[in-house]
Amino acid sequence: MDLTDEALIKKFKTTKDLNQFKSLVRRYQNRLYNTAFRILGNMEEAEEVVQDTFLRVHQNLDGFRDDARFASWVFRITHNVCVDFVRMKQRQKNGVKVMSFDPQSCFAEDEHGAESAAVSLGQVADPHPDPAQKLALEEQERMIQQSLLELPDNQREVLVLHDIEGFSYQEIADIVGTSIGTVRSRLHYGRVKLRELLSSYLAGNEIPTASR
Amino acid sequence: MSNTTSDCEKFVLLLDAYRDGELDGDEKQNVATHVEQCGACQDRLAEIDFVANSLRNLPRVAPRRDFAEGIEKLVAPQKSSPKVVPLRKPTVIWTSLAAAAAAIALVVVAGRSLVAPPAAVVSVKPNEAPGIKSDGRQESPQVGERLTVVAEKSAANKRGPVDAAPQKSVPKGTKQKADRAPESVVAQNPARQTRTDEQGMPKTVAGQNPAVAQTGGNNMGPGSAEGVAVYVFEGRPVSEELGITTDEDGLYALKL
Repeated sequence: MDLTDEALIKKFKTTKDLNQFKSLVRRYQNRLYNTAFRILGNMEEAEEVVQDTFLRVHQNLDGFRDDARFASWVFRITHNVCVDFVRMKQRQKNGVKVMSFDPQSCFAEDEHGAESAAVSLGQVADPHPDPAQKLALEEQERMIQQSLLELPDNQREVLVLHDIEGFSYQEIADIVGTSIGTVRSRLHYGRVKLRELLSSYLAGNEIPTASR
Repeated sequence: MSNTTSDCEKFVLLLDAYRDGELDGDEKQNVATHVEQCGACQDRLAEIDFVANSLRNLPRVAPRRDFAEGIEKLVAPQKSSPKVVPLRKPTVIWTSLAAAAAAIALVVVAGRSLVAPPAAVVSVKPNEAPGIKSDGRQESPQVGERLTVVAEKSAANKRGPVDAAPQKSVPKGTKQKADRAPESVVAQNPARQTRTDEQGMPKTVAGQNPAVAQTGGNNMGPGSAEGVAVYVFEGRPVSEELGITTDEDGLYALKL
């Protein structure tokens, strides 16, 4: 039977055996990477975020409270690293954009990287799709990812944490450091905006449209 | 129906939470009742469901490498870092202190040069340069040399103010006054010669240090620290000599 996260941490703190920490890394690296990629839209940056996250986890593990949930804690660190990353990029692009985050430029900056990621996404989704199906799948994934990147960063992050990673509102509030009401609001407006963006791509063919 | 439509504004913000199972109690029941009666909100709920499912159905992206494999390297630097940092910090501190001390020395020297009488007359040449005599007589520096005078603590300052200009070049053959107030002289023209007078004015004592000498003479014993240090720089452009330095004896020198 696998040890719980908290039990692994306790064991690592006691023994200082790096294998215990490696178990935690392997347990979370895919989720963290997927989250970072969906938020940042860039594979290399997502890798940097994950690496930095594990470094910070290792440095601050002594400060982790035993009664806390490790998943929320490690995702909060990832959130902080992503925020730092976005701010850093913002400073680098200072003068070009003043707003908080420019997902379009982020995507455009590494369009090939995102596209190559989309290709791998299609392969992951179905190992043996027929060519037409594969193409459609890739296009849909690319479109959703690009639309996601066009959302304001705080809305995008809440959508990723809830709809992709499956965190509850309360957990998201803990991760991003806000209230449940704010999470609820960001989720609502983020979904509304995403639907609008997707409808522009699909011309309403596949998206149900509410009668206003 | 109109009643249902007017309720939409109230419930529209709750539809996401309702769909996500984040409502309980009366709130959840009220939204459920409204959605059953409101076609518009049923469509909105379908939209929310579509968007959420689109995201949920996105394939998961896996990293191209196993982060656990490189974890030793990742966490290794933080073990050695405490050994490195303390070694660097003192350097920074001492450098800062030296800079601060030099700045203070600059202010003091500048102030004295403006208010106080000039320091003792000193002229120094490099060790290799001939002409430095223990009796205070000294031949002028060679071409290309430049003398810079820095007073560490001039005995002259204790003797009261004297109307004197700051360090100036002394023309050839200039003789210093014989009163007790020493004057500082910088010989900048290699063709000119600087001398002290014959009544006990400071004399140049050339030490082994090619750049520093202490004044000696009738009024200053060999052990007196009250003197003038003189730096001689050879063959350097003026721009390189701007700044403050210190020699082994802890004397600070202004490079003018």
